[in-house]
Amino acid sequence: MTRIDLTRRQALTAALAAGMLTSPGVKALGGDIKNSTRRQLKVGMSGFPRTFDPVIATDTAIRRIMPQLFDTLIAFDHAHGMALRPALAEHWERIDAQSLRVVLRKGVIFHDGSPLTAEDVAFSLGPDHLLGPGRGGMSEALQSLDRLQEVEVVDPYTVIVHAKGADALLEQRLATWGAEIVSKRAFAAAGSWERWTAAPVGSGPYKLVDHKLDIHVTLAAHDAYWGGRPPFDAVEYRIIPELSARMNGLLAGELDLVTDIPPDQFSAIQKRPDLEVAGGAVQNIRSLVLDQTDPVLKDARIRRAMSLAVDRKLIVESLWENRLPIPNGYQLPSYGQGYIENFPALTYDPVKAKELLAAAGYKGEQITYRLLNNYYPNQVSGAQTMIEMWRAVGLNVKIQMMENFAQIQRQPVHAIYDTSNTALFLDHLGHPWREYGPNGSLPKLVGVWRNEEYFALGAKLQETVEADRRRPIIRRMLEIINEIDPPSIILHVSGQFYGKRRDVAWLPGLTLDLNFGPFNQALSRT
Amino acid sequence: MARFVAIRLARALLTIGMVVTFAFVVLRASGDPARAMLSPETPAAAVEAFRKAWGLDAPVGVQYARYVLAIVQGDLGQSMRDGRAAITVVAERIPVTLMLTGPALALNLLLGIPAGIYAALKHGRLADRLVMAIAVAGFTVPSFVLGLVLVLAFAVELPWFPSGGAGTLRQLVLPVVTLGLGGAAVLARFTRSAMLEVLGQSYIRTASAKGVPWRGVVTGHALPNAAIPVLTIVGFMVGNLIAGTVLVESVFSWPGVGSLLVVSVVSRDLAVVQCILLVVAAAMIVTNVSVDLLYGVLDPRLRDASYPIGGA
Repeated sequence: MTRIDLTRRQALTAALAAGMLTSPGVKALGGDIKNSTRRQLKVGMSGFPRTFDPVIATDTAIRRIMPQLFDTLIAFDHAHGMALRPALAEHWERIDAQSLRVVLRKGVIFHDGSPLTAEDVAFSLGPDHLLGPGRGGMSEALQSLDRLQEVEVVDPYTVIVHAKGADALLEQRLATWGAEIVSKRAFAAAGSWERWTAAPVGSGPYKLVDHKLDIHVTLAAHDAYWGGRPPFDAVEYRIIPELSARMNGLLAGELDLVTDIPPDQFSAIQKRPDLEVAGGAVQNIRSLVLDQTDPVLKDARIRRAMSLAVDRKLIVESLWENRLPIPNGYQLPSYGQGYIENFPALTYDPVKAKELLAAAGYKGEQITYRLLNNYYPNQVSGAQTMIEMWRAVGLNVKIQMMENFAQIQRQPVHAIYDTSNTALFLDHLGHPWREYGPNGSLPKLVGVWRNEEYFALGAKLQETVEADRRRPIIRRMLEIINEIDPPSIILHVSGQFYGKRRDVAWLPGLTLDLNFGPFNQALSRT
Repeated sequence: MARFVAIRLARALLTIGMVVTFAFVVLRASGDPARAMLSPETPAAAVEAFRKAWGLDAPVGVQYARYVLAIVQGDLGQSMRDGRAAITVVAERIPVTLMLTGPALALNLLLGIPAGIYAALKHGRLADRLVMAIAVAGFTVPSFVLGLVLVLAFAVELPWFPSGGAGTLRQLVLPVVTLGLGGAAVLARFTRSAMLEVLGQSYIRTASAKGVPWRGVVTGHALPNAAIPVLTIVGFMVGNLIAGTVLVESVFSWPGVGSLLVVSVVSRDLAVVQCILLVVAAAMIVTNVSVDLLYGVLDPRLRDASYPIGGA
């Protein structure tokens, strides 16, 4: 019999899944919502999703809709520290280090009335869907699902998911962005990717009714949802790019919830008794990329000095009302066993910064800061603050305003610039590795950083399943990107804030996803 | 007459060609459309696949040649955000914008021209100064500021009108007022100036001296002669009907051509931007030619093709 190497986290997850098995179906926390008259939810959102299929792209606007339309086999439980919970998978078990047997929930109905079977799973996670239109690779899902080898159909309700090698994160991959299950039959009936992406069919708590470019997306409750009756009769996303217009819509009572609220708008919301600010830190880290190929920044001591000169606590207090945490290294506590608790905190040490600059022979050469106009909330204010912090230790950093990332990343970069990075799954491999690994955007797309030791360690980590063997590898990788050869300056954990009516029960999750289904903890209590 | 039309047509085609080329060069020079369209977290492989799917991996010269060739064949390309034909995406927004700009133009004309005439006829008196003070305030306050003030007053504090969106008559009121007041102020000032210039002419004094009633002098002699410069301004306003509402559409979340242009430029949705510019250029050209023809109606001297007037 094949030996199964399970981490403690995986064992706990399996136990949780097994425990939930004993009930006929996983109900939303607190039970279902059969009685009350449901309202329509009106959401003011800043951007229009450019696709309604889960694999093609993972833009914020798309992710705010996907949880309504689709389910994954396994899901992250936002109310319980992102632990894994059963979703379309009734339970799962490891066969070996690279295979997972998944037993599907029975009675799951797609929006078109057809039942979920193993064929849908094999199709959704197979090349015809996962590789995007024409199998051309236009698929952002591959950044987390590229390790999938095959989905083997055992019977109509059982599949075996095979990874390309040993993979400790297989369960998480099946819970992440792009791993949503679509209806194979509906995809075939659509006849083309264009028609499919305009009207996809999933099994989520809401079905797509209508959408119009840059105007609205309308969903209706899928009352046959396996997780219980959806709490809202319909969800209407109104696309309102202008912040002032979203705010006005909320203040005038025309919208129930608005997205992308920066801290300088908090007081306008909080002074209204019927409104409140919701949200906080999400599984995403804001950082500043440092071009290792720049004549000045090629010296790691200067990059480290730049990091040591930044008073992150002051930035978070003054610009974010102290609502965001500062991570200890490029990691999050939700990584579980992959989280190195005692990894040193990011320090503010201007004296040491000056020493490093002196040791590097820095003579005030200009460092360019390519900056977008508040693509990220508080981006310009934060940049201006850091310019002064750097000036205080003798660093000469000059802002160069840019319009988009194409301009920011124009070669040669020879500059620093802002970025943010989402933890697609909760592990070093699902987060910094995506950015700094050999296929990540910094080494491959932009070409501003390489570290062969880091690449080799990452390759080793991918094949390592046991937690106690993974942790030293992760620690060394963190040391490289935090101290030895930093590709970026970590600023803080990113925040997502929303303005909402107090009488709308809803809790934001720990990612960019919005979830208006019965698994939202607040909605399950209504 | 045929030569007149041929020259204007040639100029129009040249203008359109220049607009198309300008849009292509500016949008391509200001950044890779794939990187502008996709999120910064998009993996390199997906970016490459996107470039390939949309032909962005070809040399820029080849892309331009393909683009021009397609236009000549009547194909304005597909929206990279939507997948539909760019002309379809733009065409569905034109009526929405006209729904806003049509009433706004009517407000411009109905408020601006009478106010300008009234101010000119009351030249130097309190009424003149009052009208002009309001007009100066009207066109110095930016439309987005006026729009925000109106929303705060009449949507947030007094919930009389919706703060944004399109589809109902009530949603039309605030953006039309915002757009209409600014234009009316401009028109009032131009009308006043034109009227004052005409009222100082000798033929006006002659008509008065011949005993023509003042009302007849104004309506029969002053207004027709003052109409030409006013018509020029109205021509610009009509030309702006399709894309001149960018700010107001943004403030009121009005889903018209202006807001589509903003989003398309930001996301480098090239086909849509180029399609909008073509439509706007065409609208401007049609308007200019129409204004030229109307000049002839208003001033018989201008019907002579050799008489020097402006053109498209």
